[in-house]
Amino acid sequence: MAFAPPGLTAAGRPAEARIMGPADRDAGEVYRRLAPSVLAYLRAQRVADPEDVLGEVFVHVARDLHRVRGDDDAVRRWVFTVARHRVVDEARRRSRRAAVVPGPVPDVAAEGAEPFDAVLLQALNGLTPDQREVVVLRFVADLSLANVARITHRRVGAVKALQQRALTNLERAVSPEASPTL
Amino acid sequence: MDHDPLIDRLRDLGQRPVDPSTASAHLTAIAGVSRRRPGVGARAKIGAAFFAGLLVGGTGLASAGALPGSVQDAAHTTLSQVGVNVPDGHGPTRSTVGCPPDGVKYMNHGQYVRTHKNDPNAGASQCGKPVQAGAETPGVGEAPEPTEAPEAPEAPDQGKPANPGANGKGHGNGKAKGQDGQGQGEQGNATTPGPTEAPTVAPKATPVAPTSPSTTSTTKPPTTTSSSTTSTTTH
Repeated sequence: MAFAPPGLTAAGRPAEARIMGPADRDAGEVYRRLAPSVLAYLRAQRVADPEDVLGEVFVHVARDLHRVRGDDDAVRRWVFTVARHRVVDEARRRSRRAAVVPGPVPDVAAEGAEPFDAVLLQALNGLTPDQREVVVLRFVADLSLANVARITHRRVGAVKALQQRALTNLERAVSPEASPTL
Repeated sequence: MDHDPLIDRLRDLGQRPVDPSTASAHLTAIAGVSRRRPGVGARAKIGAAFFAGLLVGGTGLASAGALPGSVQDAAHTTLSQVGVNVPDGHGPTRSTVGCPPDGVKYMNHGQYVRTHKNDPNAGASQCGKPVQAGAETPGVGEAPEPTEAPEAPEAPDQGKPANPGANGKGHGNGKAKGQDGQGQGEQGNATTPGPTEAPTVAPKATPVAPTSPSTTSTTKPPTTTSSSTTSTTTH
């Protein structure tokens, strides 16, 4: 596993402006920076209408962004915390309505958009909810182990263990010789 | 086990751009929310309204004299500097006219009257009454003198039955009611037994006294007066 050097994120991208005061932040800018990963997180969490929920998440973010203090990592963690709460709300609402459409995960975001990695999404579907949440927050949302632990209310050691098991299962699922069932 | 290719695929999943039309709709909604956020001006207005309410309420309580003593004092001092007159925390000044010189300070007239239950003239005394009340009413400025006048006539009677030796003048003072009584009222009031004779209001009683034994036997006060006069004569 690769570790990010100082000044770079885990993905190897250069770290953006680190410390920003609440007044400096622009909700639109935060949207442009984080919306793709939030949308992917919502898709991987099997939310029924991810674009709609994405809009709700960022409306909430725009309303309360001025209250958030800390660097960009803190903002990123907070945005994904909001998204996670929306996912939980959505799951509850779905279970109450009992109008579940448990079909396969759509492999396109919207008409005309670039198709998603359908195989990977299908493999994510095969993980346990805890494993899926950890691996998506860790790599799709690009959060550190400590931040994932804070968001999911787990210890770092537990997050590491879940991540390791999830990656092993995913590797097995996406490999060419993988069996249809995990 | 090396998961790098898999991790790269996962990261790539998080970098797919949002559909431009969807992003545009979201950004419009976000801009609307950001504009509606209450700013510093709104908060300042709320704070100013709160303090204005506090000021008006506090001044109202101060002018009603309803604040606790020390706070009322502070309000009195502060507001008097801007020309607003509110009572201080000590209440109105109480009159000491007619109070017995025993050093006891009466909080109000009621306390004085309660303390001197046996004194029928205590109610008419000025002792413990607010000074402003008498001074402010027009035409009443002279009223205290007549009200004290009835006390003066008592003075002659004071010494008579109860405390003959205490005030030597008391016996023969029946004549010098009006003038001497004023000065003596303050002195002679010290003897509590004196006022107990008060029902015999001198100006009225004296004319009635001679006639009462023969004419009106129904009214009691004349009989008492007559008895007192007889006792005086026996002395």
